[in-house]
Order: sequence, then C-alpha cells, then structure tokens
Amino acid sequence: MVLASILLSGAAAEAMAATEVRLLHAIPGGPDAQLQLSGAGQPSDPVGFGQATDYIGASSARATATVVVDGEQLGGATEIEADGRYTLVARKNGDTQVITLIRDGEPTPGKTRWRMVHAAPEIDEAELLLGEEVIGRLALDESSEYGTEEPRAASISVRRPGEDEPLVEEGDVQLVAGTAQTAYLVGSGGEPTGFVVLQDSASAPQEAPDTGKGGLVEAGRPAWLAALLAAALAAGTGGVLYSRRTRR
Amino acid sequence: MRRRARLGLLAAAGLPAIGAATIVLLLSGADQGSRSEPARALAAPSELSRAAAVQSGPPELTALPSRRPAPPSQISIPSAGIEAVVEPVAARDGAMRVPDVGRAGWYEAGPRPGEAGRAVIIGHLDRREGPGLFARVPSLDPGSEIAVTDRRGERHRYEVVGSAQVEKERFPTEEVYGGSHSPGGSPSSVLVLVTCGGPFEEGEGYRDNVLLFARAAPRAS
Repeated sequence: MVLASILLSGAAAEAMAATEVRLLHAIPGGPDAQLQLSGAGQPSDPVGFGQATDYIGASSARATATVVVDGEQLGGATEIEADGRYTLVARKNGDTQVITLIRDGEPTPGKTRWRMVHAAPEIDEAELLLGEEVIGRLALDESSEYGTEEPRAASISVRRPGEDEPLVEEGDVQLVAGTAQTAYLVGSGGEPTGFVVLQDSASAPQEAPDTGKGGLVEAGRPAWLAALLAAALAAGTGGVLYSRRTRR
Repeated sequence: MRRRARLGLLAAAGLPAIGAATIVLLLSGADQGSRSEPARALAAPSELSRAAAVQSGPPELTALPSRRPAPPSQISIPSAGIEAVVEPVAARDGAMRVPDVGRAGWYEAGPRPGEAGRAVIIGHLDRREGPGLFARVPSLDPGSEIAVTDRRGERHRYEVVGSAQVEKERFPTEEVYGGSHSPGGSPSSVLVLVTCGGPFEEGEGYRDNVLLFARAAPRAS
C-alpha cells in the first residue's frame, strides 16, 4: 500500500529556475535506494538509511520522481508540477511505504533559514526545540515553517509535549550563514531515532566573477615596440657599417 | 654597380634588423606565454569534486569559536606575497561585484571566515596595467598558508588543499558556495579563493576561473 502525500512549504515566490529533486532515505533497515527523475537520464547514486542523494535536475518544471530499490520502483510515482527544489522523503510506517514530497526553500543572505520535518513514525506529536527555545509542535509528516536565525552552532531536540526530557537531542548543529537548512527527524524501527541535517540551498551568484582585465596579456605589447626598436637599431648599425666599408 | 651597392646596403641593414626583431620577439613571447596563461589544464569533474570536498582536520584541533567571528578585514598569503584589505561584496545582476583593484572581496551573503560553511573571497588576477592582487594565487601549492584577520583582530588560519580551473560558462556554484551538502553535526570551515585564469580574449575577458580550496588549519596549542 502506498500513501503519497505532498507538503508544499513556501510560496511560489520561492520558485527557482529549474526543478531539482533529492531523495532522503528514512526507511529503517531498508536496502539502499535510488532516485529516478523523468528527463534526468541516470538515476542517483544509491543511498542508505539516514542519507540523502545530491539534487538531480529535471529537464522541465513538470517531472515524475520515483524511488528505486534493487531495480524496482518503491511505491508510486510522485508528480512535480512547479519549478523549485524538492526533497522526497521515503519512510515506512508498518507495512506502508510513505513517500512525502517537500518543497525546499531559498536562503536569506547572511542568515540561516532553518526548519524541521517529522519523519519518525514511532514518535507521535513532538515539540521542537532550537537550543532552549520551543519553536513549535509537529505531527508525523509535518514540516515547520522556516525560521530565520543567526548563524551559530546550536543544539536541536524534540520532546513529548508537556515533558521536560528530550527524546532526541543533537548538539553543535551548524546553522550556516547564507543557507536554508532542514533537520529531518528520522528513525526507529530498529534504527536509532535522530536528526539528519541537510542544506537546501545557499546564497550564491549564478554567474562567474570577472576578476581579470588582461593586464598580464597586455604586458606583451611592449615586446613589439622593443622588437621594432631593436630592428631599427640593427638596421642602422648594419647600414652605417656597410657604408663605411664601401667608401673605403 | 649602383644597383649592387643598393642591394648590399639593403642586406647589411635588413638582415640584422630581422634577426634582432626575431630574437626580441622570441624572448618576450616565452615570457608573455608564461604570464598570460597559467600552465593549468581545465579540471575534470572528478578533480573538481576532489578539490572541493574539503574536510576539516580533527575536530579538537579545528573547533570553531563559540561566538560568531566578525567580518573579515585583511587577508595574508605569505608564500604569494599577498597582504591586502578585504572588503565585503554583494551580488549584482547575478554575479558577484568585484572589489577595487588591490583589494580582495568577501561574499558577504555567505559565511564569514572562521565559521562553518564556505567563505568565498575573490581577487583580480590582473588589471589593465599588469598583475593583480591574486596573480600568484593559481600557483599556490597545497599546504600553503592563508590567514584572514577579522574586524576584531582575530586571525583565522587556513591551509590550501587543492585547486581547479573551470570554464566560467560552467561555473560550479555548488562546489564554491555550497548549497546541498549536509553540514551535519561536524564543524567545517572552508575558504574558497576565486580569480581568473586560462586564455584571455580582448572584449571577452578570461575564459576560466581558478578556484582554490582551503581548510581551517589546526589551532595553535
């Protein structure tokens, strides 16, 4: 049985030039999986539990993404109908394969945009903390909104609502300047529950910088002048010597 | 007789002239070639990936400071004779604005040197009149030291681990600025220097960029 759900966080304003998709393997104990994207040629490299593929670019805004395990399609295909970056999260709930499509956000220059996604089926509703600050509650398959943070190292944790002790905690997560990041809560089912922190995007000019004006090349120009002067001098000397010799 | 004398004069003046010009051009040509086009080949994708996959040293030796570093103000590369002011630069019309000649430019929308992520600093390979601030950056060897001093006076030291020459038309944005790699829980501070390289064409500029990747150097104990 397949349940495909779509979480589209972020507005169309976050649309990017092309469609890119990556796969996060969140099936505890599951075999390695690959992402196949229509119009992208080769599938991604295989990844194991807790790992993500690189983003794969589609040839058009409309694309179909499938998860492939041992050469066979896992679950149904997921249709993508708008430009942007997406993460396909493959997880398992009992015998059910759940594939969730999440839209990834763009960065804020000089700051960190940060959010959390709940993909650990054995934890019900979870309270999310960044450092000591509670940033919200999430049910399974839900995503928080991106928040804007000062870049720093911070601890992230989840706990059951109303409890003090964290269920899962990770310290020194780097909130990188100029990036959007997502912390995925994954696991259980035989694997330890924990966070997988991925960068969704980074502030980056799209064109290469123009850091040369040709001065090293133009330094060659005086060589022509030097050659001309040398030629004139040699001609003059040769002419004078020849004239003196013929007068004798 | 007069015609013979003219031919003699022509030979006596012309042959030394041709010889002298040829020698000068040959000598200057060898010099120009080594300066205008660094002896580098375009990086294969695997070579670029290897150079860009910069990892920090042991965490206990390269631990990031507890407070956020200040923006950079000075860059020093002793082996290249570089000592220059760093000014913040932003992107404009899709490309990073280049700094004034003689200064390096730090991409202010990204990480600061000394903190997690890829801090990018650019500089001119040359200007109209001759070599630029980063003229010797393409020839830096792995292990070369780079120090960036921030506005609070703290020095952030890096060591070169690799470089790659890439066509500007295929500029590898992800490798330079990051964007899809997992920061995980391990601190990693990377410095990327960018300048021009490859053949130069008037009106078109340089065909390539040279990228230099450096990792945070172990902290002095």
